[in-house]
Amino acid sequence: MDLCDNYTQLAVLGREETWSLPTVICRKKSTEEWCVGEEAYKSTLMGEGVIVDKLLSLAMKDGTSTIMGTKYEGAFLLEQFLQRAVDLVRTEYPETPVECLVISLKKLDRKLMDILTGCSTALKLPRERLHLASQTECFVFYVLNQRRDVWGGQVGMFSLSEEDLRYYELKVIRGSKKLTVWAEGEELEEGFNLSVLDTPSGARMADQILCACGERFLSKKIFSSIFLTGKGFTKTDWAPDFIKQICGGRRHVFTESSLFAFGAAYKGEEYGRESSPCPVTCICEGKLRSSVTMEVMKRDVKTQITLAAVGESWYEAKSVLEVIPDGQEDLQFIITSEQDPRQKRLIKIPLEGFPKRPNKTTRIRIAVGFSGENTMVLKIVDRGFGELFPMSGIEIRQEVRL
Amino acid sequence: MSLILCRQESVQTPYYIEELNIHIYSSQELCYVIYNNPLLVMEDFVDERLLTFLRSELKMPFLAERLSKWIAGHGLSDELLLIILQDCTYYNQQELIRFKQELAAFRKLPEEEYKKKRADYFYGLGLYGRSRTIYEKILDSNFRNRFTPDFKSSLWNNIAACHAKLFCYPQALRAYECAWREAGYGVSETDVSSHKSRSRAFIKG
Repeated sequence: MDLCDNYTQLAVLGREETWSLPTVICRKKSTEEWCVGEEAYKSTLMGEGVIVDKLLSLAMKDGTSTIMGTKYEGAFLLEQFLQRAVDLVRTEYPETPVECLVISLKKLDRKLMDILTGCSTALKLPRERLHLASQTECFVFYVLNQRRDVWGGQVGMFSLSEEDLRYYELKVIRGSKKLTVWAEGEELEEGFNLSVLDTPSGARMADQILCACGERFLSKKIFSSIFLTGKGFTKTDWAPDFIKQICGGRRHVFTESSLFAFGAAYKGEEYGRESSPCPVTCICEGKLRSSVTMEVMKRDVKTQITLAAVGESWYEAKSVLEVIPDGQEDLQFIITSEQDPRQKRLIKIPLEGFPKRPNKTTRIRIAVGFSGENTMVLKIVDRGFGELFPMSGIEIRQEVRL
Repeated sequence: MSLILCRQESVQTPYYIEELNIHIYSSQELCYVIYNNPLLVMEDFVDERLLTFLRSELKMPFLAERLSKWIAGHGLSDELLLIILQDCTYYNQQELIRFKQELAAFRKLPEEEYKKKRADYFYGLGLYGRSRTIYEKILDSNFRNRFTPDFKSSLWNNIAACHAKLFCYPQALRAYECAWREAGYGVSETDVSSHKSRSRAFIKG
């Protein structure tokens, strides 16, 4: 699912048609019945209901909407919308349960992500089957699921929607055992309202704007392919010069209006796989750019244990382990950046306030999580040593900038 | 300096060690008890109950199987304790060597002295009844003729201390009298009452 403030698209793996609906919800005036998308517009025009739009923004700012004297929280309205949007798919596949739902977001906002993951019960999905991804990551998954020659070199993409104009780029680095994909996306200042395309002069101006953008991003680089996505590119005849420009230099050019929704579906497929024949490390928005490791003794052998790996989604990267210090009075975490693996940073966290006990009789639980791409949150808890040395309940919470 | 990575051990039914009055929830705790209580674990510690705990709770079926096979082939021995310590890797090689030497040193002791050390250990744990029984068994053993008067005296003294700890003062007095007699002292009413007043029921190691 590609979830935006203006529109929502849903795609199912192996099916070409997608579901596309405006991200709006309407409550009937007479009863507490809800409808979404076009039906919501229709109901409002008929005077039967009250519509609420910009559901993501409303939920993110803890906003509320009062309909027929009842105050509804933004998060609740978003949940109702999602439930009905997913039901559109479920009604067409009544016998098939949803294996996995990946929601693609333009911006990975912590608050929005918490709200969305909290919707799993309403969506009748176990929490572990609901995943969130950035649009950039969905772009990567979409491209990697195309023929190899499509992503042999760099891949560029323009996304033109009612909300904005964005440019994405990805580069694949082939390793002996895995693929590493670097991708990034940015919102362009040149974005324009799609209504300008309604007039010939407006369309000409928009074409010129895109040409200028194309010149800026595509010259001096070799691209295997260029993708165009978003409502603005459902038709391309209004931008003849831009199309001519991007088709030059033996590039493949594709248009796919539901690219992020399909990308999310491909990512969902990846979750369902036991193991991938060629694992992909994706480094883009929402992914960790550094790994976090610890040196421990495992069966009498010194070994490095990975607490978080490069390319993991920071929102889902969580690990818990228990260790017993042997003559050590602090915990040491090694941070390694993907950009320069030789440069390692050592973070020492002293076990301040922990009870003094004989050596090797303090079990420590370390929980690692992330509150953002660059912020690791550590929780270190004294677990004691069974009934021999009961736990004190002392814990250390620390944020570490990666 | 290092960090030992702990196995995931979700123990539902912990292993109870009556002598220490503790429940064991992990392989590390088990190793700690073995290493720090050799006199407790040197006799009959590895039994079917422990093997079941290793197999079902600590999810160490291979270790349990290895111990079972060892018992079937060689009978009970100190090697079983070393197998457990080695397998759990809570203690390093140097510590294992130290433990092995400690066990060997205990085994080298004459039987009566080894048994007395066990009885002293139980006394330290507050198991006075058990420790008194062991002291008495030593005194009743077939090889009691070879005991020195000092050794016999210390056994009687310790029996007296056990009685005293159990508030059995008449029996404690009689045992102290025996201890004094074995040590070559004459015993008078005054001596005994003065000893009683000074006594804090110490045992002689």
